[in-house]
Amino acid sequence: MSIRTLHMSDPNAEFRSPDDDADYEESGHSAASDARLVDEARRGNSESFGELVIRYERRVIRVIRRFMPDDQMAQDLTQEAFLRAFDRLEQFDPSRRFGPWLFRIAVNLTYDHLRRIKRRGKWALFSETGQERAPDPATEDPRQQLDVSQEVQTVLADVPETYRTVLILRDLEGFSTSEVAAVTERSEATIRWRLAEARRMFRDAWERRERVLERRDSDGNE
Amino acid sequence: MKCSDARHLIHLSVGDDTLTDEEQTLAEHLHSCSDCRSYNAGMVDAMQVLHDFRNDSAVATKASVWPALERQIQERQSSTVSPVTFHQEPQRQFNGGVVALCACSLVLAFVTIVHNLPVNDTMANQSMPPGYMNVNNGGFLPTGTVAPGGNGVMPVSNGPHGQPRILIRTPVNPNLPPTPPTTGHF
Repeated sequence: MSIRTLHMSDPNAEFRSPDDDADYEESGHSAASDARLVDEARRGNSESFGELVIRYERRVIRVIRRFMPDDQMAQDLTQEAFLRAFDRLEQFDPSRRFGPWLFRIAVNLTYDHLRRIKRRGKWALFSETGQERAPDPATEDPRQQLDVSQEVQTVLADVPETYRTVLILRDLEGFSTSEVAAVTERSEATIRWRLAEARRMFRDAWERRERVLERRDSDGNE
Repeated sequence: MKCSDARHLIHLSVGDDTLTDEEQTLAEHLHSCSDCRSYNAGMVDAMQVLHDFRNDSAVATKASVWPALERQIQERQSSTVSPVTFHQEPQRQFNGGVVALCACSLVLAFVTIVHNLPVNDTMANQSMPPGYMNVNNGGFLPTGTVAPGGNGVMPVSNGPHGQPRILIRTPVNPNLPPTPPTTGHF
């Protein structure tokens, strides 16, 4: 079962999906190489950076959304990721590919944001009381209304960060293992090992969730 | 091939991430191991869930972020010499609430410890031989003065290496002689 969709023949297009390329061609921009655009942007040409933004934005927002289902927040983080990339263009090594570098910024930014949210929740002065959190047996469990997509999202959130990144980039976004290795700055062997572990974790978590649902159903029938 | 090795390869093969020779080795193992075959089936199901999720959760197309980004970049360019030489550090705000919380915790801990120090009214203002020390005034009151509600004594003995050892609430310690009348100071 192959779930790869990237076309690997064009080295500049490896981090873009076919949809992105169609949009890109329609937008009338010339298909200049990333390296040249980066070089021009570093010299102060914001138009060139704009081409890079248009080239990558849909893919970046999709990757961020895999980690964070909030559309508006994903949009804001995408903008922030490009702004950060622009700020750090001087630090970019032109001998390397722009795509992995950009996605690394986006993924790190997203994790920073998620950690901030988590920390804020942990240190909040006011929280729900235990009484409010206790489920009311008379009302239906709202979790039952979650559709499968939300459940997958919940299960994915339980997978540790290091493994989740690999799983999302490889299995949900279709990056190749070498691309994931480039984004995470790890060797391909490490990525293969993490990928195997991540899939095992996902499978275990998913099966746990199915067992819980079955038990709930059987309890409900009794 | 061990089943543990086979399962590692199963995790990779469900996403087409195995090498050709690994795939062949795995196929041979699956042919002979029913446990791994059923494990493989479960793994394929789990990957199918991910695959479906991938196709379901398409991102709605939104307007490009470039116009807003371009405005931000132009604002920065107009306020700086070079567009890429600045890097705005995130502003950090001092959170006084956390400091106040820590201070309150420390005060509460101190009060709790002081409140739990051993006291004995019947022994107040009595003479105390060596081996007993004044503890309830914390050294703040003059010698011989006893804080209200306490006699100011705590039994002390020597440890195995001669170091002082404070014994708290040990009325039945057989190693100590019965508490004699004390003066309230060491």
